[in-house]
Amino acid sequence: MLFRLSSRLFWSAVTLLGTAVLTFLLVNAVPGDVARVIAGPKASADVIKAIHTKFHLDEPIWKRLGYHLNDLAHGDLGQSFVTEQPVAEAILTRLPTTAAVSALAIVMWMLLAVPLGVLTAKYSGSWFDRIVLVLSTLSLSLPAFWLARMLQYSLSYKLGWFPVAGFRGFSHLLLPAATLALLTVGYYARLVHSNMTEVLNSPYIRAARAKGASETAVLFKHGLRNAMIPVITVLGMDVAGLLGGVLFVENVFALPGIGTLAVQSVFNLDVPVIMGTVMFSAVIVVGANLVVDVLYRWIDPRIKSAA
Amino acid sequence: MISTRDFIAMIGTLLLATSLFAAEVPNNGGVLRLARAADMQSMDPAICYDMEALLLARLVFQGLVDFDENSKLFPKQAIDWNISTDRKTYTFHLRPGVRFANGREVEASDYVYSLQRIIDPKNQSPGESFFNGIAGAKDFQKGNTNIITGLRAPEKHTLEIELSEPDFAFEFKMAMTFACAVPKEAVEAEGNKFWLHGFGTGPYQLTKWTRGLKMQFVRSPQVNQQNEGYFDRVEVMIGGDRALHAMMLERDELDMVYLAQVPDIVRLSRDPRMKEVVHPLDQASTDFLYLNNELPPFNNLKVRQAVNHAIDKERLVKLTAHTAVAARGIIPPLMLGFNPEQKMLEYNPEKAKRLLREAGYPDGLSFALWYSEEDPRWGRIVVAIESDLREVGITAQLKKITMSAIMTALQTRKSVPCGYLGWSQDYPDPSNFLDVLFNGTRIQDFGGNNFAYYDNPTVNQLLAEADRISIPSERYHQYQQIEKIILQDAPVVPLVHSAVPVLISSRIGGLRLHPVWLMQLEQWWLANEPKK
Amino acid sequence: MNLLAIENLKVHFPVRQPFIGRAKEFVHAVDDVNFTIAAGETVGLVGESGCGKTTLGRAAIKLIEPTSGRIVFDGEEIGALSGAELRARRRRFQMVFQDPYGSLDPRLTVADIIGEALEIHGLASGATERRRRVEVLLKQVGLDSSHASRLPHQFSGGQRQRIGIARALAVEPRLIVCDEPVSALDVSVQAQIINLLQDLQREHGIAYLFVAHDLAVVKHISRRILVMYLGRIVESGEAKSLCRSPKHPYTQALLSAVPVVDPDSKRQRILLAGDVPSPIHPPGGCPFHPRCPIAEARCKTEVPALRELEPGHLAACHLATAETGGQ
Repeated sequence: MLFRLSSRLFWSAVTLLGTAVLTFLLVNAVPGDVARVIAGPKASADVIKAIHTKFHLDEPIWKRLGYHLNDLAHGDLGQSFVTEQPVAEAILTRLPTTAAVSALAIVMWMLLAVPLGVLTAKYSGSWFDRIVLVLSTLSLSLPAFWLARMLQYSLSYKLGWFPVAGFRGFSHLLLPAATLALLTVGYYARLVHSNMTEVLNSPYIRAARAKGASETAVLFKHGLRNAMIPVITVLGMDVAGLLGGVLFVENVFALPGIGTLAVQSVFNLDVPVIMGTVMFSAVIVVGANLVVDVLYRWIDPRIKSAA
Repeated sequence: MISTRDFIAMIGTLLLATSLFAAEVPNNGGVLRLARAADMQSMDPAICYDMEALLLARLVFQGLVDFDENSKLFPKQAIDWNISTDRKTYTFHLRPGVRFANGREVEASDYVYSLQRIIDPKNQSPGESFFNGIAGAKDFQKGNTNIITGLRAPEKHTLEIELSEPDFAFEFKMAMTFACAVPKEAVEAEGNKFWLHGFGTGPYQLTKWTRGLKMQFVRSPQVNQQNEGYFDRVEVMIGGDRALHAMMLERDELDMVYLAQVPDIVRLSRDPRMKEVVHPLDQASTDFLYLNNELPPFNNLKVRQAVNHAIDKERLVKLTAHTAVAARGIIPPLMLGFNPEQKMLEYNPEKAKRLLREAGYPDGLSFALWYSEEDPRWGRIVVAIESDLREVGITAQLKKITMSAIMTALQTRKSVPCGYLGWSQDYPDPSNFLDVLFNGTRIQDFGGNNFAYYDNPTVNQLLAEADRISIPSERYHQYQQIEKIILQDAPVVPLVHSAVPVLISSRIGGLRLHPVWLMQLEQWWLANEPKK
Repeated sequence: MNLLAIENLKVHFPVRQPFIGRAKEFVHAVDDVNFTIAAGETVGLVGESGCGKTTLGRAAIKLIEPTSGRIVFDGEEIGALSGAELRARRRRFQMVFQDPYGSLDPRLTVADIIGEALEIHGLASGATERRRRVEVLLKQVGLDSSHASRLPHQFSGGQRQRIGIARALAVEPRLIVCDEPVSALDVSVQAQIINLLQDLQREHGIAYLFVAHDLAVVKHISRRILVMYLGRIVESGEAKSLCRSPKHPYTQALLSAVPVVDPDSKRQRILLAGDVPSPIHPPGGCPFHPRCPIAEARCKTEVPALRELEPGHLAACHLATAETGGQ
């Protein structure tokens, strides 16, 4: 177990390193003088030159990469070119919003997907199952941006059921979270469905029924608990996809999260913040995969004892 | 002795009168909710120069003088001021008891400090060119001295400013936000960080600025003016675009949308329930197409005239949903000194083609047209311009860049062939347009406001003379003659005079149009409770 | 009175459920089957893969819904029961499954798996009592009480089958349907399990419906044997007499395939031509006729009924007589 863990940690570190290098090279390939961004539109040539020296902008790229990686290793994400705010601080102030929307979305779609998956597996082939299948496919195919705008326009603007945008209180998170949930619920409903179907066809389910167990016990105690194991692992790995969807949703609903920070930084050519948000996402994704990997061994008893 | 009956009648009348007036008294309290699409660069009054940012800066910072609704200069945090007979020395008497939010009383030395900051090249203030006429400024900038000899505080509440040359408009310049008082001890102690929670002599102070996210202002413990500081708090959301802000305002989540988009204006104006929120704010402004007079093809008079004749200005007006009027000259109708009789080069495509041929471009010509979409109407206007020009054989390649980028570019000599930008008055005097934009002696390699790089020695001479005239009617007459000459030289194309379309929630009271600042948020109050 | 009586049992599955409307084609898994099981008796049910014997076994204790027919257990018709009523009756009949690897819930310990049965039917008065009874059951099936806290994947196939038997035994059933309980096990282990089942039967008087495809095993354990082909019983009778003189050509073929220890004995191997026809479209007439070595014209059109050819020995063949299959 310990060897496995350290090997996973090693490869996670390698992934993060690769992400840092690749992002750095990509961002610095974009045309535009970064010094102008920092200095402001009215800076004189001297100021520009000073900035070039301070940020090593005149040096060859591989050397700059070296400085950058050195900073990262010391936990220094640098300062925003535009606001001079430390990047880490910028990310941390926005993290709660992004985390809250994501968590709420996950709760919403799981509360919907699990019962749907269980019921459609039990009543496989019925009209209910087919309708849910169609809706699930629809949910998968909807473009995030379109759905967010549509819901905002119809439910917030026209009907006034939710606030239109911004973040003043919990009610401002409901519609953004619901948008994210609607985009993902289809996939998870089908995932639970297929896992449940497989499990329900297992002999031990029949054995449980033969014992005289109630249908509820069969479905949940025996069926769902076994079917959910792969779903949990998918959820963990899906964090990456969630980050992408959050970007659109935050943008449309003007939520003060990391997604809006990431978008703003690109438009502003704010290099440290771009790097910071990308590295942050990378850490989240790699971290989630690592956690899922460890957790998986723990919750699936077959693997747990074998280790 | 008055009888009891009369006494009671008197009290009754008094009470009645008071109750009638009470309806007019503004309410204290509540939250003003605003939004900005992008973050501000800085809250430093020496740096702020765009209209939208100034609205917020003026919540916090105020100065000695200001303009009233009739464009007349009045003493605000000064008692009065006088000007020496040679018009070179200005003496301001500060009103005692005006305090910064931290409780310290404002002194003349504070104004010396604040004005020095504008001149100091370290701060790169866009207002530098307005104040570098102060005696000793140039020496200070070169680093020869560390004080400016023309800025003096002979007594605690007396500020003396000496200019190197007489400048009729200088007192107006003192009303600009650049000249607001800032607390020296706080600025020096914290440096740039101070502006994140800045305070001044205004009715509000900035308590929290989460960059890129939101700003929060709170009523200052020192409210130095009578009719200001009614809200408890002002909250500014940073994010979302103007269309989203309009939706939020309709749903009562915002109180004001600055530069609302044309489709929203049209839609709301037609809605009987909502049309009262639409406020097209008239301002003294002109949108220009600045032609680079130093570079071909616009160094040729006939080419410049051809471009003027090629553009149909009435059509442009339609594109703004009539939130603008066709240009009547360089000086806009709302500015003092406007000439209603001024003649513009008329819309005449045939004449344009002929002029091009005469100029030596029979096959037409092409150039790049730089613009920004800070004001959403500009995008529509340049497209119409491009099509008009195409009709006469001119190809304008549209190049869209950010607002700050175009300002920088236009201020860089020999950089932009043709740029679109609006200019609105900093103060109500024709020199603000003609002298600032068209004086050849003010051309700089970098940082100047003569965006067309136009240099006519006759005009330069006349401008210098006009500057010395102090009787308004004579002064305006002279400027009108100068305007005529400039229009004949056609260094620019004046296009439209646009109003600023603003949406304001019906829960706001205290709205008064201001000729320079457009709105004065510091005077607003809560008229009705929000629906929520 | 018989413990279990099956009358005219049919189980038809739709082949494919279309999006709208009714299914058109059905698999005739069990096609009009009748038999009985007496208390304490072992009845063997043999046939090839796909003949419907597993389906019959499940339908007999209502783990699958029959399409039509009667199931009478201990004098009570359970075919009409459902829900809580049916679940309460489940105590009396249990099942041991074919797949030792899949029939135990991988997330539950052995104690939970067996204990759940006790809990459902209220057979233990508390956790301690439950634990005690689980230990007793484990001992009965030849396992150690320390196994109670382990997980299924920690056991071998044979051990898992013992756990499955313990689970079935826990509720003190009167009938256990053994659905190919040893097919997935090694030959050496098979014998142990069979012996265990016999021991338990002797001790508790449980009846078995022993479903298998291997006639040798069935012969060993059963008192009576039912031979099934394409959803129908084609021959039934006492084990010894059925094996000594099989009347139906299919039974004869099956028997001829059973390996015999004596290498010198010469036997006639009856090889059946062709594959098992599809149960969706069973052939007309006798279901066996396409592969029958002795089929006649009549066999193609007339379905033979199960006729008693000798006392207690029935066969469904037009050509079978009391003398057929003499050894």
